[in-house]
Amino acid sequence: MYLFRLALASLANRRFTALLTAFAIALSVCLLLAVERVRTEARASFASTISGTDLIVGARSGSVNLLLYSVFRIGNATNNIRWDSFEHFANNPKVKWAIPMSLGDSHRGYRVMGTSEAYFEHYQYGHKQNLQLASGRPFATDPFEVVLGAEVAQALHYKLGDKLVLAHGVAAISLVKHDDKPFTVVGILKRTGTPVDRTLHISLGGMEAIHIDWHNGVPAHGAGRISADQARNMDLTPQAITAFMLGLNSKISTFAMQREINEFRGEPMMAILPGVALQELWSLMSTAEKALFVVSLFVVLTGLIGMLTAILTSLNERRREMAILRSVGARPWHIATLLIFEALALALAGVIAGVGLLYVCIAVAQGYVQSNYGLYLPLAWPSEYEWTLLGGILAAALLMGCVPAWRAYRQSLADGLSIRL
Amino acid sequence: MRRLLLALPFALLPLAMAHAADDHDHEHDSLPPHEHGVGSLNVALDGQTLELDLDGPSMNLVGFEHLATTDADKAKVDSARKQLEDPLVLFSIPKAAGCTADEQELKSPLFEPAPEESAAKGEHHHSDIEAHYAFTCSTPHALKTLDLTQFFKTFPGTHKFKVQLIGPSGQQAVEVTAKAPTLKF
Repeated sequence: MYLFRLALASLANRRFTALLTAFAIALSVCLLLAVERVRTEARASFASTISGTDLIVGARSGSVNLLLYSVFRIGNATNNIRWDSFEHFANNPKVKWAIPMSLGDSHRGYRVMGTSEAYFEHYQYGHKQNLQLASGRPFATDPFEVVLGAEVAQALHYKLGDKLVLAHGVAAISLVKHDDKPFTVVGILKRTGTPVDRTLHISLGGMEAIHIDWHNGVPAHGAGRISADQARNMDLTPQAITAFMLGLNSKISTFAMQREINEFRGEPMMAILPGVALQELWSLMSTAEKALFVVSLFVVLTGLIGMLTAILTSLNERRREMAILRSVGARPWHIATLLIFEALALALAGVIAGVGLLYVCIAVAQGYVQSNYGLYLPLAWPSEYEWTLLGGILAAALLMGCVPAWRAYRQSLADGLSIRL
Repeated sequence: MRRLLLALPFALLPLAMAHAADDHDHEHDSLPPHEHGVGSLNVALDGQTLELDLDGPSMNLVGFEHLATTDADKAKVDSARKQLEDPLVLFSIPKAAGCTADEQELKSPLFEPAPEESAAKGEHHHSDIEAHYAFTCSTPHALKTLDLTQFFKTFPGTHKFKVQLIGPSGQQAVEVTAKAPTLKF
């Protein structure tokens, strides 16, 4: 133990370099842990983009594809599904609720989704959180009402009562606009950190109304046009929707329902378990995740090599110190142990400071990160895996400490007390 | 004679129509995937109910896919069937969970008493074995994992299960192999 105290005293004598070295290690440890936390949390938040939904149903394609367009609003559906197919399953006794979704239009680069009131009631994200309105109300019976996601409202500076025009298709710049039928903003959703923030929600009736006078993909001209008021009085039940989500009475019936939908005779459809598809999608991204981890490992390695360099360069200056220690009776292995302890002390200080730094950063950035990126960074004790990482860093430091220790051991045998100038 | 020949298609038309109607049932169905060595397993746990759905090529379980005709083959099918009828052992369901089987159902062309015609037709290029189990568990909290070691030991023809799992922590996709045979709820 006295050796450890001696090592500390020696470090205290060179406190400026020692502090810098420890700080370099602290930074790298902090980075490694931060990457690790963000990685786990990103995975968790990704998995909680949608929750509480038992099945997502769309035209038969791939499960990842269906998930991408129905939940992440990326890409497009290959086919639509018929409204009566939706009704068939929505009225199934096993089904608790059903949310129809109709996609395909956009507004200044943000996707528009036609849906029903059930969406605001049953759609859940995160840890079974329902959507909440920051202001206003969900769309009601009038077809030309729109509820904005938080990001849409913020980026485009919309407030309640504003009128906006939807564009046909999903390109950022569209030449065909539904400008004869403007929509009124009636509600703005609270931020969720999910793709919901980037979506404009209108009723299925609204979606139907803006396309009601369209023929063969182009708007009608002249007398063929149907005004917004005329459209209000027409039957706005859609013919087809893009996809729908199902919540079941019992989770047990999920697989039976999935099978029933997949084998549905009416039209080729596919039901996916969102949790399963999310994992499939995440596994596609796991390479990037690993790359991030490897980079932060290298940062830690750099920090440790910095420590090694600092100790090694100090060895020459400390010949006299070693010699004095030898003269008062220290054996070569004492000197070696001293240096190992020094490395360990530096690494330990670095690790503790790094963890401290991480907690300070989390405490400061927690709110901001959650509201802007939807990532909840918990101020929790290091997980088992993180302890292993920290232990690994200390072990690596110990191993690296052996290099200067070995040199000092050899030198102190050869050097003796004489000082060569 | 020639006139008669011209009439032949019309004479045969009803036959063709009948045949087409007969086939109609199959045409719209896509076929499920069939990959030897790989089975699919659906596990759902909600409240006290645990359900397992197993589906895999017969190859995985008995080592062949034709209908058992020889005594040796029949013995294999019987033994596989017996093993499948004991799910508590096969899936190592922890005793502490207190699960009792409510219903179990095994389905496969191999288990049916060989219908002469389909065997003669040679239609079954591939055959699957499906098993469905439902349990009621008195203490579902004790059900933390399912261990398929015993399954992989009993049926070495099965190398991998693609598992869809619904548990208290939500939906998961897992792959279990003989080397990593555990499922976590």
